[in-house]
Amino acid sequence: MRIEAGARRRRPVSVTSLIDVIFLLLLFFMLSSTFTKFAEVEITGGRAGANVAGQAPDIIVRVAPEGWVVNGMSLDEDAAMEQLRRLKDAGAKTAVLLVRGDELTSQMLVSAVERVRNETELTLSVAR
Amino acid sequence: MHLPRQKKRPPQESTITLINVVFLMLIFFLIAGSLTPPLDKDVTLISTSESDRSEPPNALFVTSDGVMRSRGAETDAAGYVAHVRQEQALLEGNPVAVKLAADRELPATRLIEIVGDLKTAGADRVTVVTERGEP
Repeated sequence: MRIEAGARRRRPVSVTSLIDVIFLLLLFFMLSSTFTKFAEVEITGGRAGANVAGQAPDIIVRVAPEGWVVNGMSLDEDAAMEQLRRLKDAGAKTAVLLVRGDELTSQMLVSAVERVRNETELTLSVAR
Repeated sequence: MHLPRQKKRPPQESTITLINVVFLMLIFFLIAGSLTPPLDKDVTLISTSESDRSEPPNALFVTSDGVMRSRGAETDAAGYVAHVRQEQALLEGNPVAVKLAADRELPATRLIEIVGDLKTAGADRVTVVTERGEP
C-alpha cells in the first residue's frame, strides 16, 4: 500500500539571512565608493627643447609664487590674464609656461595652466 | 486581594522597517557613489574648479617627495608606460594616454620632469588628475 507522505508546509524564508546579505552589500558599497569628483588637466610639453611644433612660442609666461612674468613684464595674476587676452587679440597663438625654481608647487602650476586654458584660447605648453 | 498585574510585553520591533531603511541606504550608495580603484593615501590630489570631469582614476601616483607609485608599488616612468600598454592591450602604434595623480606639494619642476620622462617612455598624452572642488 502506498501511503502519501503528508505534504510538508514550506516554512517562509527567514528574514534574518536576507538582512545579513543586504548588510553585506551595504558595507561593500559604503567602503568601496567615493563621493569625490575628479577632473583632469592635460599637460603638454615637457622637457626644454621638446617644443611641440619646434618653433618659437608667441608668448612666454613665467609663473612664480610672487607673481607672473608675461613676455618680460612682471604682473600679478589678474593683470597677467588681461595681458594674455590682449596678446591673444593681437594675434598670438601659442604660449609657453616656464617653471623655474623649487618653490613653485604642482598645485600652483596646474591652477595656472587651468586658468590660462579657460580664459584664453591659447595653445599652452609647459616647459622647464 | 492583591493580584500581581500581568506585565505588558512591549511589542517586538518589526524587522521589516529595519530592512526598509537598510535597503534605502544600499540604493543611495549604489547610485550616489562611484566605485574607485584604490587611491594612494599619501597623495593629496591637486584641486581645480573648472576643468573637464573625468572618471575615478587608475593613475600613476606621485608623492610630494617625487616617488612614483602604481597600486602601492614603486615604479618608474618606463615601467608604468609598459604596464599601461600591457593592461590596455595596446599595439605598438597605438597612442598611450597616461594619467598622473600628483601631490599638490610636489615641486612643479619635478612634475614636469616626470611628464617629460613619461613622454620619452612613449606616452602620447599625459593628463594630471585633480579633485574637482566647488565651482
